Amino acid sequence: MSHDDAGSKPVAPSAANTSGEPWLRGKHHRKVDAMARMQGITRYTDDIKLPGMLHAKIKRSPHPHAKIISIDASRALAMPGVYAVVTGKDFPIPYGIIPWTPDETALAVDKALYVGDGVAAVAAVDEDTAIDALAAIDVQYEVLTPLYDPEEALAARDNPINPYSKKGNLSKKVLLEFGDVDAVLEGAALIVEGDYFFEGTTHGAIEPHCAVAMVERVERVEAGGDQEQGLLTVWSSTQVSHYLHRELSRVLTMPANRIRVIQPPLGGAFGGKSEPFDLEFCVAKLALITGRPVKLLYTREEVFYSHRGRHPMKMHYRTGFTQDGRMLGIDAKTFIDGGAYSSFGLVTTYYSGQLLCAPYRMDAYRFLSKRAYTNKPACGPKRGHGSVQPRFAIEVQLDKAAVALGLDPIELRRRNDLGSDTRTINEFAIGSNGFMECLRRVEEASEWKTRRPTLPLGRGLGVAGSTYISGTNYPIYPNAMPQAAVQVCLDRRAGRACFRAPTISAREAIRCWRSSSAKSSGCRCLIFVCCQRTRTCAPLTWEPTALASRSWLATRASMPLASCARKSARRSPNVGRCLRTEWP
Amino acid sequence: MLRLPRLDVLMPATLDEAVLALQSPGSRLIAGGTDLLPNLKHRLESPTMLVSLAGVRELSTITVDDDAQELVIGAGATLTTVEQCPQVRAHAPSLCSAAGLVASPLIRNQATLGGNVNLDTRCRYVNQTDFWRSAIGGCIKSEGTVCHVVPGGKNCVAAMSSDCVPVLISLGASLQLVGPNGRRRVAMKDYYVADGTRHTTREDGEVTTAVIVPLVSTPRRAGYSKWTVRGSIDFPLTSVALCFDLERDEVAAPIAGATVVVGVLGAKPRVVTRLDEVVGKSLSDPETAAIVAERVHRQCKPLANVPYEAPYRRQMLRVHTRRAIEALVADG
Amino acid sequence: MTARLLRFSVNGEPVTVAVEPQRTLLEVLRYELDLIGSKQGCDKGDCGACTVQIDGLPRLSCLTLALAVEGRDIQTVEGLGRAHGGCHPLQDAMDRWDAAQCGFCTPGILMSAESLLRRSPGPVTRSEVREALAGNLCRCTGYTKIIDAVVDASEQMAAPRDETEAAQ
Ligand SMILES: Cc1cc2nc3c(=O)[nH]c(=O)nc-3n(C[C@H](O)[C@H](O)[C@H](O)COP(=O)(O)OP(=O)(O)OC[C@H]3O[C@@H](n4cnc5c(N)ncnc54)[C@H](O)[C@@H]3O)c2cc1C
Ligand code: SF4
Ligand code: FES
Ligand code: FES
Repeated sequence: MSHDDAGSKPVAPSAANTSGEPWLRGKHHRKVDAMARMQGITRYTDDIKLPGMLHAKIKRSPHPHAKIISIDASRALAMPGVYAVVTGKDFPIPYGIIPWTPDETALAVDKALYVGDGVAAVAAVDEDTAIDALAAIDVQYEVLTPLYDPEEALAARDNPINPYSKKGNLSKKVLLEFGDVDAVLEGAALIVEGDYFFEGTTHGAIEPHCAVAMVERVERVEAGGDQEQGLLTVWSSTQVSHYLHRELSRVLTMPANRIRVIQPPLGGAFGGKSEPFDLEFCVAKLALITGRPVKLLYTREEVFYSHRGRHPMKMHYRTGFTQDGRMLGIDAKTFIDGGAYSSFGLVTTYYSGQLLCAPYRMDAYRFLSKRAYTNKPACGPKRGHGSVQPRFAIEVQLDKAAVALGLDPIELRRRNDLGSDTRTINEFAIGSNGFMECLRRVEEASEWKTRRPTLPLGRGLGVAGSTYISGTNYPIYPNAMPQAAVQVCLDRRAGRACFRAPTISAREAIRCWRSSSAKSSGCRCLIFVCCQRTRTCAPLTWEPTALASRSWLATRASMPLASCARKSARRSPNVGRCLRTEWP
Repeated sequence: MLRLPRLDVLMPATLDEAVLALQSPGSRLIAGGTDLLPNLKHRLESPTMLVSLAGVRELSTITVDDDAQELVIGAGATLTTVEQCPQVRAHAPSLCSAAGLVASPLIRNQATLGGNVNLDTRCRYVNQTDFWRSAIGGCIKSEGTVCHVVPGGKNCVAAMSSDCVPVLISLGASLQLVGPNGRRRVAMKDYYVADGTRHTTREDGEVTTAVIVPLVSTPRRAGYSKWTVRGSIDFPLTSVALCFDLERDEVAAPIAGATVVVGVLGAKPRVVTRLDEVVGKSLSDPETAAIVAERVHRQCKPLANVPYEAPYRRQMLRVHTRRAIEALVADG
Repeated sequence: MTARLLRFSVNGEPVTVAVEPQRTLLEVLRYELDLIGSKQGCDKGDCGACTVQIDGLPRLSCLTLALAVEGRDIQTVEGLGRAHGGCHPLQDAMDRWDAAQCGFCTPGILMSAESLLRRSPGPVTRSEVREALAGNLCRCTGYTKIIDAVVDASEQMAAPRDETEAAQ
């Protein structure tokens, strides 16, 4: 099965281990960093061990919804080997991965919002002592009524879960209409209507989240500045060091140029490590307090509590078709179960509707999506963010339409192909489009026509179409901002420098770089990555092998970047001040 | 990490030393550790000392006792050894299948048969961290006083989840136990009791030294069916052991006797009754499979103690019982 | 609990280390001996990231008491390439097939796969590989490339060695 096309052929056995082979686009190459990972050399976050390092643990709420009456850490602090305890009161400034929805605190301040919400953290000489100390922290709660169902939560206006929410338990509402849906459905020969429920999933990366913080005391530079003027370094298994950098600065009220975030190689993430979590703030604060390096490694259970997995959605869809199977319009209503915090939920709420408009053509489309707070771990982005759940609903509706209209499911999908060089109903630009080719190949490879009619009861062949966006900005709200940026410079030795912001596919950037520059070989490739958001290059946040999870990002983001890099290399030879890695 | 509680570890080299060590209060026996260590990491127990059988070589032999007509499997034999052992294959093939279906190859390389027959009962409300359990106030088997599976229940109904136990009972196996008061032998069908907090009649301080399977000279077909969602790692969601004694050595022959044992219900495996109806019928007669599946379905009521809806698991019991018999027939 | 001296061999080298009795082999390897190749993904037998070989058999170091390996021979991923100039044919095949993505599961997978190849005289089948790797979870690859790579490595290793030997 896996050998049937050129795409899955491996690199030839003779191919040299590290160098020698010219790097060419369209050819398979060894990964730049896989061998070190396979040899057990690569240092992931939990592999970092610093002199004098303390170990931290977080005390978590056993109640799904409770007011914190008091926290008494005196017994814990009196224990030998316990260095410090922090609680929500030590960092009350709310943050949010989406700057418009700061509704989360490093540890719960006044209220715990789900079972597993962090309420206090302790740093101790070793993990066992830290665990014992957690038991000695006394927390008094007043238990509140928990809400688990998004519709019930929205109805319970008098019981708002998140203290920063402005409208009861409504976390986000989006209503967008393209074309006249009611009119179009009025004239439909067939309406398929139904309710669909997606239960939610989590990422399950094999590496549990981990963070290490260290403070280097440095000379005070500015007179009259804060008394606490260390340089804080945080290593974290985060997907996006810049987000963490931004939020650490905000929550710890430390200038950004005194914080350095380093992203060691990741052991998988899939979206589950794309925002700051309690552990990073806690190790940072505890390191600042104790002056010692502090590490915190989640247990697998804590990974589930931190969650940010795919949102459960209750979807009610009405879709109209013509007699010959053309899709006229969709009227979609969706309740989204957000869990206790916003996370990326604003984006998810847009995506739950915006990503439905390809690969099929339609005349009109309306969606109303409401994301509710509930007393559960917060949901967030997971591979195919926001597009999977609506896809499930609409593809089931297409199958129902196929049955009702007596059409083959593949044929029905063909009849609705969007085509190339066009726009979706919600104005996404479509360049090339391989959907018809895809359908043809699937039809052939599955022996659709011959096998499908012969399968016994309980066995079947199914088909579903899908797309994902390249560049995630426009779908949230139409705007003209760039989707990604890269800057390439030449240095004095005629080496090239490539600046780009997202760390997530840095490995792929190297790979693309090597492919794209192969022709003009002879010059060494210098990869520079700088922090776009803070514009400061000193707290640089990248290691050559940083990579989160999947190489699909390469095709999505890096390929265009590579060609763009070549163009700008010709234009602006200007080297910035930033950390660099030399690539032989 | 999930730390183990602070405790001491003793590594005796002989059975006698192990039995002696077990007499000190707070001590607990450990073999492969694949059941006990996760439970300790979850703070389900708090022993102060583990007495390890890892160094007791005398427990890992497998022999056929021709005089007694018995297959004697040392309790320390790993499940990988049991699965691959030619003698077990020859005399108790359904035990090989069950042993080979436990967890994953990595765990089977470590897990022992003695640990498998003494595997603690399991429940979704108890095989969790102590923090998780604290959110529901524990239960009878842990820190609490109520049962979440049977609300109002006074008795723990956590599931006997061993793959090998139903098979061993269906084969009429017994256990050899050695304790401070000497050795005794107990039929496995009498070893388990319906109390999830303590589901065996093993005394503290007793060590299971061997599993004894009687040899038969008459024709027999025996099999084991396990349903899980993933093909590996998971504990059984339904578990059925079947053993048919036949009048001739072919599947078309009339059945002389049938034993069916079902696991993962409550704390005690259930021996299915009223199977006389299939005696005299041919094993390959489709009606046989239908009758046995019906009996299993009627008598076995899975509880909400392990994942998956209990009514669904009950339906699956019927389906998998039928399929297991069909597989025996197909194997000839 | 007072620490005790534990002596065993890791990748052919003798080690002596003081451990508290409740320590697992994984904790001792990773945090006492700094052998960071073996990973922790669950610490309770579910994921296989901690797989090492004990006397040649792949086992879970997170469910092994450190004191229980007294005198035993432990192989970890760090020692895998030693006899092969730093890169075992399995590592090479996994590299060529792109079978390690984040690489967190990979050391465990390699230790399971190596044991299979060592026990099999010739090339292995896909179903043998599936069975041998049934205790190792990988969240990135979808497994196909891993199975391809292990089968490929077994073919490479079974191929006549004359050429390389002649060259040496
Ligand atoms: C991820 C995972 C999946 C699993 N899946 C399955 C599965 O599918 N099916 C299944 O049956 N099991 C499963 N198990 C449980 C376990 O691995 C097996 O039951 C195994 O056989 C237990 O043997 P052990 O030697 O490791 O037992 P240990 O953990 O050492 O001991 C288990 C219990 O038996 C007692 N004990 C051990 N040996 C003796 C003896 N000789 N005499 C008296 N008491 C003794 C111990 O005191 C302890 O209470 C799984 C475990 C894990 C971690
Ligand atoms: S059956 Fe009831 S008492 Fe027993 S472990 Fe489960 S919830 Fe607890
Ligand atoms: S860490 Fe050992 S199996 Fe997951
Ligand atoms: S490569 Fe990431 S888990 Fe396997």
